[in-house]
Amino acid sequence: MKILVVDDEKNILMLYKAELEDEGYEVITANSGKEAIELFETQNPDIVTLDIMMPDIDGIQVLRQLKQKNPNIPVIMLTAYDYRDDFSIWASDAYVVKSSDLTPLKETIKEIAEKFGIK
Amino acid sequence: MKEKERQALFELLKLLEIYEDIDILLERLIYYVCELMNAQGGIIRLIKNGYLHITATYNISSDKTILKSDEGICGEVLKEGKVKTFNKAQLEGKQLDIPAYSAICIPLKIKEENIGTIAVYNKMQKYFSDDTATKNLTVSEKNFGEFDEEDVAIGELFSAIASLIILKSLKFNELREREIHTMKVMAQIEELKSYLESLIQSSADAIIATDMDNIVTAWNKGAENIFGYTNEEVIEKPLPIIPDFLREMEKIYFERIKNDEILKDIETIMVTKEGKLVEVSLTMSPIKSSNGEIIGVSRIIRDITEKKRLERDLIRRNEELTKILFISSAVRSTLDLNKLLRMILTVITMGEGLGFNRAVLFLVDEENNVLKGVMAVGPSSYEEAWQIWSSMAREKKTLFEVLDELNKREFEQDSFLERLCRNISIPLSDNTPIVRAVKEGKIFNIKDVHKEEADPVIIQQLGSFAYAVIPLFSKDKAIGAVWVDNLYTRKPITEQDIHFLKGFADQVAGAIENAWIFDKIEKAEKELEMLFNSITDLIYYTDENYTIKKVNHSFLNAIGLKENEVVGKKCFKLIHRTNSPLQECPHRKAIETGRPQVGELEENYLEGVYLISSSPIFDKNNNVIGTINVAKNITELRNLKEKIISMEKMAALGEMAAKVAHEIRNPLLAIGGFAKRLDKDLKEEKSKEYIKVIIEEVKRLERILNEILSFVKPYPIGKESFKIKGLVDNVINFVESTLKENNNEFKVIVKEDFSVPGNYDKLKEVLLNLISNANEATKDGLITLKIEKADKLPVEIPDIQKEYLLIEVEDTGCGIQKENLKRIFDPFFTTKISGTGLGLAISKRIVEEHGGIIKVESEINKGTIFRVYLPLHKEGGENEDFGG
Repeated sequence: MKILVVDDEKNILMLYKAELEDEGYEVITANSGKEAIELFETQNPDIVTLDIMMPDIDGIQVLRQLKQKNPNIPVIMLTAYDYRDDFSIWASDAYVVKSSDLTPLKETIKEIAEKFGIK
Repeated sequence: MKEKERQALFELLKLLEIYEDIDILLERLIYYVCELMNAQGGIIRLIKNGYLHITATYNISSDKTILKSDEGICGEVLKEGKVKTFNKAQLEGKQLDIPAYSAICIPLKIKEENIGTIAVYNKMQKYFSDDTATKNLTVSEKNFGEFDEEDVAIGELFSAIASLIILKSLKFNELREREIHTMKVMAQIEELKSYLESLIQSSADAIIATDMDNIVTAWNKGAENIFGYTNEEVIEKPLPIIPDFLREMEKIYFERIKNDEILKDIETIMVTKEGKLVEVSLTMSPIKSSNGEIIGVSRIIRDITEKKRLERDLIRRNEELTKILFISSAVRSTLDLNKLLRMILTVITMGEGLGFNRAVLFLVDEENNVLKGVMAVGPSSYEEAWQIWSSMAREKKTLFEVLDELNKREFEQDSFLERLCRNISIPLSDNTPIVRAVKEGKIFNIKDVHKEEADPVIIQQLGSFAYAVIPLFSKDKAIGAVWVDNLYTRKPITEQDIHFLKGFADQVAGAIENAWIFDKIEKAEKELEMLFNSITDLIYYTDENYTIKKVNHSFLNAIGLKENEVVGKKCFKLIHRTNSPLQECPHRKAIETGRPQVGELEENYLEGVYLISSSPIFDKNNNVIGTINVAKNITELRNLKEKIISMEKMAALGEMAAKVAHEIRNPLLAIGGFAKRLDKDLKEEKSKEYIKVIIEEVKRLERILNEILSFVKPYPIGKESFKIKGLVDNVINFVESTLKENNNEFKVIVKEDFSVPGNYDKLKEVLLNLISNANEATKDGLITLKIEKADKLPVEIPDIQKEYLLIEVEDTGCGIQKENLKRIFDPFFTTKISGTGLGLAISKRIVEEHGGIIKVESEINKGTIFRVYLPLHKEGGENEDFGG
């Protein structure tokens, strides 16, 4: 299973890559919204994790473009705080509040993978 | 002399006997002339004003009664001055004034003056001759002959003598008429003289004549009556009635008389036989002889002592009334207009006053443009009038006493006359006397309503036979009229009455105007008072020593006292319950600075925050003599304001927090994440311990971050309700162990279970927050959680219709400093060593988002009570939206 991790902070990308690879996933990272869209087209990831606050194109717009290209691609939004009632992320499949504890993220990926039948 | 002439002369002389009657004389004359001349008829014409007038005729008539004196045959003979015959031959082509066969005309002359003519027409034939000239004549022509020389001779004779006779007769007639006229005049003079004499004798005035040396030549009965001297005592003696001190004046009068002057109506003083001085009115005029020389002086003297006395009496009465009115107007502050007007009318109708029988006051009603009867004083019937007068005579009260009495008692307003007059309303567009009186400012004294123009309404309603109307003017504005009459006594209203009433009316008008003004002021005062009392702000006046002088109703309501418990007290004692004015009170500042001051003050005893505006009152010398203070309860306003400020603060905070959160969260995430990775790889104990510290601290930071973010982020409140008891049980489980740490007893009182609409988790957070705060503030104490229905609601809750749940968390801990009490709900305000300062701010926010309020009460070292008021669902009201 190939996961595309999108975040504007390289340290975070590094952490997520290490942690998720430890979990046995193939991880590709994008450092900006623009890069995320390019990689999405070339690498065909199975799941995308998307940071909302990014300097070039924000996560919400990236989400829209990704869903336009492939409505069936599962996207997990990573947020700085509780976005539950922000309807702009309803288009995503799940959201996880960012935390140094990556357990909630890992669990969500597992749930999504099961739901979408990705191996 | 011929027979005929002799006869003519004889007849003429006979005529002299009857010369007294000119008409008979002339008729006889013309008859004899015609007889003598054997003529058919004749006419005597006499000249008057240059024309010939027929004055006598015989057997003939002419419609030409007047002829010019130079026309026709008469004119001809007058011109020539001699008798002429006009027989057929002479008449050819001539126009006779009377159609005739023949004529003879005799001029009447005296000296050279023509006085008239005698014309004789148609000589009668006595016999018929064989004269061929007559043979061809008609029968009628045959009857008439021609006048001959003999006739002319008779004519000449007549001309001279008849003229004389006629003239003499005319003269005599004239003389006689003059004599008759003279006799008539004499008789008239005689009559006049006796009339004058009787007049002089019977005159009440003294009529006295003196010569130029002031010796009395005539002295009438009037003089005797006034001065006491009889005719015999003064005739031929010097005039004794001039007092010594007026001799010089008398001389001056005399000089003026000598200059042919007449002195009229001099008011002076004379002396009687008894030496009494009398006031008189004197008219002096010169007596002249038939040739115009001034030979004496006549005096007509009228005793005016009585008149003067009356006059003085009137003046005195007027003065008295004025005084009374002045007094009544001076006390008019206690008199309402009605009472004053009634007193005025009473004065008019009182015997001692003006003494009219009835008086009605009419006032202009500008709104309806009518003159309206307002008030009336007077008896309604003869019987009543008689009763009043007889009782007045018995009691012998003076006007002043009556007025005094009137002032004290309440007037009966419902007399018959009063009701009658109130129904009278006369349009100002009418032109009857009473309306004209008002419109033209004229006085009307109608002496007989049947003979003069009068007001039909008044005759009809008041049954008056004669009345007077006096307009009431105030500052040139007609305000009404006073109507008076003497229905019962039938006493005529004299000019003097009117005069007096008029002088009085001016005062009445002034009094009415004053009373009106007073009325208006009173009304304005009442309005002001009403205004003052209906203002919801608290208003009070004080003097410069903070003593309350006047307060409005709102003030009394707020302070819960009665007016007499407030006025005269010091305001600071009443309001602040202190012994001196508060340092920060605007009232004190206003008194100290002498300038208006505005400020907010929290009034503990009046419950709330007040905006107080205090303005000093100054006397003439600019000294502060007091203040007027307006206090407005702005508690609600202030609460709202504070809420807005707090919300603004939150919004700013939220924005900042979001930024900070984002900036911090990522680095924290990286730090924490990698630390965890390191933790897995590290084997050495010490390093592992260190990395654990990093991991824990990052966790703590992230927790704080979450708290901040959950505070600034809104969350939805569930629309479903839950049972409060369930929540309480949950909370008890949660806190029990923590409470034990500080050895606190925990008491839970839930009086009844309530269904609370809202977010279970959030309200749980509130309860946990309050209980853990109480626990932190208390050691070895008691913490009580009480849940009940709120029966007393704090003022901040605007909707008192709703039912509220009260959650009370009470501790026996250290309490909160007063200065901190207000700030404890501010975000990031904390007194604890550890804590975000957000706990209470979040709790407050949650409560408010549920439509409730949170309040705190605390006393140092005794404890603190937090009270949460939450709105409850009413039956079936579960669908209400309580969104935050």
